[in-house]
Amino acid sequence: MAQLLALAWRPRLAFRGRSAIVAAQGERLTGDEESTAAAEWMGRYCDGEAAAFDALYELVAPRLLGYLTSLIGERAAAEDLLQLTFMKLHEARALYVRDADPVPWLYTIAHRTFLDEARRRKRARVRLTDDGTPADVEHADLSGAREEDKPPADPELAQLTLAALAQLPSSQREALVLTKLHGRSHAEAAAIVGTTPSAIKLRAHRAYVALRRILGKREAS
Amino acid sequence: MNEPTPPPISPTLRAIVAGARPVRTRRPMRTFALLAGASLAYLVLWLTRLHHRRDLGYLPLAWWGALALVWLGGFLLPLGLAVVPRRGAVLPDGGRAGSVAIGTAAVLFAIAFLLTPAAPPHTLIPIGPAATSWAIRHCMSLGVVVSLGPILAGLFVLRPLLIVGGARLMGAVGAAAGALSGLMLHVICPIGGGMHVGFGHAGVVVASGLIGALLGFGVGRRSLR
Repeated sequence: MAQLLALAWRPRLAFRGRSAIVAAQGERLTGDEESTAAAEWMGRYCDGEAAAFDALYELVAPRLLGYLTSLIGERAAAEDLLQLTFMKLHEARALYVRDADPVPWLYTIAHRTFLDEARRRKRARVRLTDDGTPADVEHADLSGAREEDKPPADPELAQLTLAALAQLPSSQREALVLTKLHGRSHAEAAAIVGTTPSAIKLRAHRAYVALRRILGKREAS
Repeated sequence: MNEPTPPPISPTLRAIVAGARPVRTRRPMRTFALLAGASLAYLVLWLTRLHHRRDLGYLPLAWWGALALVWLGGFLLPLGLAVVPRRGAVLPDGGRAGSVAIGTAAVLFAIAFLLTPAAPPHTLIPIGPAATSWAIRHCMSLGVVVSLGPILAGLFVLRPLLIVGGARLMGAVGAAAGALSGLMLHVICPIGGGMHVGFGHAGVVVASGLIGALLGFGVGRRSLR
């Protein structure tokens, strides 16, 4: 009881509801609780409470960072895009509809931010080091986790799978990452990338088929 | 899936957020009501400036009533879906709006083509392909010009929301504007016949929808930069 009371007085937990207390205790919110919490914090942020922005960032940023890393393939670039995404959220906060779930909207903003960056990179020149070789970039695995964050797993299989994912066309990779790694429904994923649910299903299926083919070839070789 | 540890909020972003003032959030139903009301007022303005068809009083009243309902429905439904998101969502559903716009255009065309009465000799029926083609082009061009008003108003209102599905959202707005123009054409155009009314009046729904979609595609690519 004392622990709960102490938690209740902490400034960033000045929000009603189970969601704030559960989050403080480190438990994972359910999908509905997460949507409700995000909607509450977004509403309070629109009312001018800066602490609510922090809470929304803590709730959503890990997943968004994983998504952006899976799209762009570089941890550092993904972190920049994450900051840019939240900057755009701040600028567009007047477009928010009270009590709506802001998380799919954030995914959409993140997706568009990635597309803008991808177009910019296509026009950009190749970065070279002083001796004229292409500059190395810090590649992260597609889950976005740093080495110290990853649990023990079959490293060879994980590397093979992630390398195979990186070979997929971006549209197929997006569909697979959104639906299988981030748990988005086909309708939500379609809304994020701007296509139809049936297109998302088709792309995810093609991604599976392609992954099986790539991994099968590697096994054979 | 492992969720990575994100970096802290950057000092720049934190400074901006710390100074953020309260904002008035979006009210989609209010926006829809304003946009629909302004578009209807715009329609009334055009109707007061143009001559009405000479066979107005000779056509069945029940048909006029049904016509108004169907074409106004063809205006309000796609517009509403383009402006008002699903419950619990922030952005309007472009897929749904676009599908309904296409369905609306098809229904309005079918009704116009198959169920248009005439009151000869007061209703003009073009004879021959040249006259028919001219009459269709004349009505379509006027209808598209009139539809530009609501299309541009919709673009102004929806521009920040066109970050995804912009072409479909604005296609729905265009189709809605075309339905309004089509209703206007029914009141002012003295030419009858399914061919003319189907292609010349209901065809405006398709043409305006395409114009809206093109605008939405172009503007959507530049949104949120």
